Amino acid sequence: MNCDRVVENLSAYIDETLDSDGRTEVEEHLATCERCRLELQALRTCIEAVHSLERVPAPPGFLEKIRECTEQPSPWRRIVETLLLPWHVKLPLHLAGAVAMVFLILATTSLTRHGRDSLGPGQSPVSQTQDEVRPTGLPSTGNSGQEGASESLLPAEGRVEAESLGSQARPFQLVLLIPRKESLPREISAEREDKGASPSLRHRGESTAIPPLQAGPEPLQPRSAAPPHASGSPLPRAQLEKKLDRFRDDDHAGKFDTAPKPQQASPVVGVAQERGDLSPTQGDRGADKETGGVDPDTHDTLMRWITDAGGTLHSVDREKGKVLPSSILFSIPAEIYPDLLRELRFLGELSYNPSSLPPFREHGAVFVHIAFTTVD
Amino acid sequence: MIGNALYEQTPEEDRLRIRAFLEGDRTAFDSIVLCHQDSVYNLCLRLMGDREDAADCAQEVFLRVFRSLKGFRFRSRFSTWLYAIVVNTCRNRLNSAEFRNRSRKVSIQSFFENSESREGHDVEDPAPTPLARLAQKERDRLVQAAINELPSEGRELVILRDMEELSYEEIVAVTGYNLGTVKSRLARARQQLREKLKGVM
Repeated sequence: MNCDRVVENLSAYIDETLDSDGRTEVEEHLATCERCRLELQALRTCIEAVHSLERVPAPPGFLEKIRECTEQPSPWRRIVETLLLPWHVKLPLHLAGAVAMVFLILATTSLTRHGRDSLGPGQSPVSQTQDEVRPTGLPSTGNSGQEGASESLLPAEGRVEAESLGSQARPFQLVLLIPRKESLPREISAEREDKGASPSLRHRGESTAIPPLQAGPEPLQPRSAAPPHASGSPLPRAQLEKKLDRFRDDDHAGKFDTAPKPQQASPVVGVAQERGDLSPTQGDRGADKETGGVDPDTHDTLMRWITDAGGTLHSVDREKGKVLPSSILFSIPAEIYPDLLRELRFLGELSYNPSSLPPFREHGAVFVHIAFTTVD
Repeated sequence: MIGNALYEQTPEEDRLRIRAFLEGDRTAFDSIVLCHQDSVYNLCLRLMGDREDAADCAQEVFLRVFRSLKGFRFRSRFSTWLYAIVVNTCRNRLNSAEFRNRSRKVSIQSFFENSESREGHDVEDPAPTPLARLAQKERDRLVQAAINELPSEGRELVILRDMEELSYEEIVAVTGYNLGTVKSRLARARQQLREKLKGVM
């Protein structure tokens, strides 16, 4: 029996469901193959880890909730009975439910339209979310070194209290690459060396795989050495602005034009730079209103922030026909991460779901997935 | 050997409660809920990977039990029947378009962080020191995160077999898969889990 076959049978071997011949073959192989023995040990460790998961009891008041639900008739039945009782009408419940659903859809559609129409010319939906999304505390940036920072600033230690944005909210995935030490994706290095060439900003109707990480020749500057608002950003600002303009242009949905466009400085970022503070304060909001709201420039602002913070933009993915991107891939120094949380909350809503997309390490980098919800 | 809490209930106890409920004793259903709520909730939590979803699913499970207990014919153990409802409920939720499409908005504090601060969620932990307890929590977090990444059927099988210690035959009864499928998918799921936890465990 070769190693592959043995590895396939290890699960059954552990559960003792192999017949005697199969068991003997596996044991004979294990006696001579250290690699398979290690594999068996690792598999047993995993099984034991699952087995020893903490037993979490039901939340308090669980029985009372069940009682409430089982003692009361269903909400639909109550609504229908309340509606129809005065007229002594009898309808099958499913038919009445269908009728009620039609009313509900009509009412929802009408309300949504009304909500959109009620936004003034200087009021963008994103501006609204500034007040709706409130920070509840953030991990401090601290002065720790970059190597330690990527450990200590994992979002699991952050405090992000996300709130619903309502039916207008549209989620897209934002993927952060947080390099540790000198490890940088190959694309970053290539992009920095090839400053005048066509950008590596990809634009297509499918999701982008995270580029393989390789040790780059150019280390990331610690924040103290290269402050985010300083002019010496690792990526030339002009180059990024060129990318942003193309990305913003609706005419380029589905394909990416490499022709340069006239540049416009973002007043939002400009104000923040003058103050030397990127926090979403009232001053920033004032700037938004003066420029007709931040919504059209949401992604522009986001990406400006990335480069101002010493980060690098890698790719933007967008489904065909959609204006907003489905994902943005970029890297920032780990110690900038808390600032990023603060800044992106200003633009929309951040959420972090470690259960579905846990952070992971690869080639010395820490990857964190953040869901960013903006307004269509 | 069945080591989980559900199977510690003797069939006779379940039988008596069910009969009492069917004869109109409303408190018998409360008794069924109290006996099984922790096991059902914990299983939902491990299958769904989120407290809120787990609470919703566990609630739905008992509502289904409430509505369909009249049809229970005692041909199988009540616990097997209950497990099947749990797995089906969670499977439906996981496969629902709403669940797959929504961008989960999770407070950082919600699941993994510091359960002590969540009133009513304190759990007796036999860990001798706070450090050991912290390490256990971190390990649980990583394991649960890896489980969440498994395909839904692999997740079911790993949890039913390795956490709940159900026999293959019981897993067949609960999931509706045939024995060969259970064996092969369980082996694959364990390998995937081992890959995901490589370097972590």
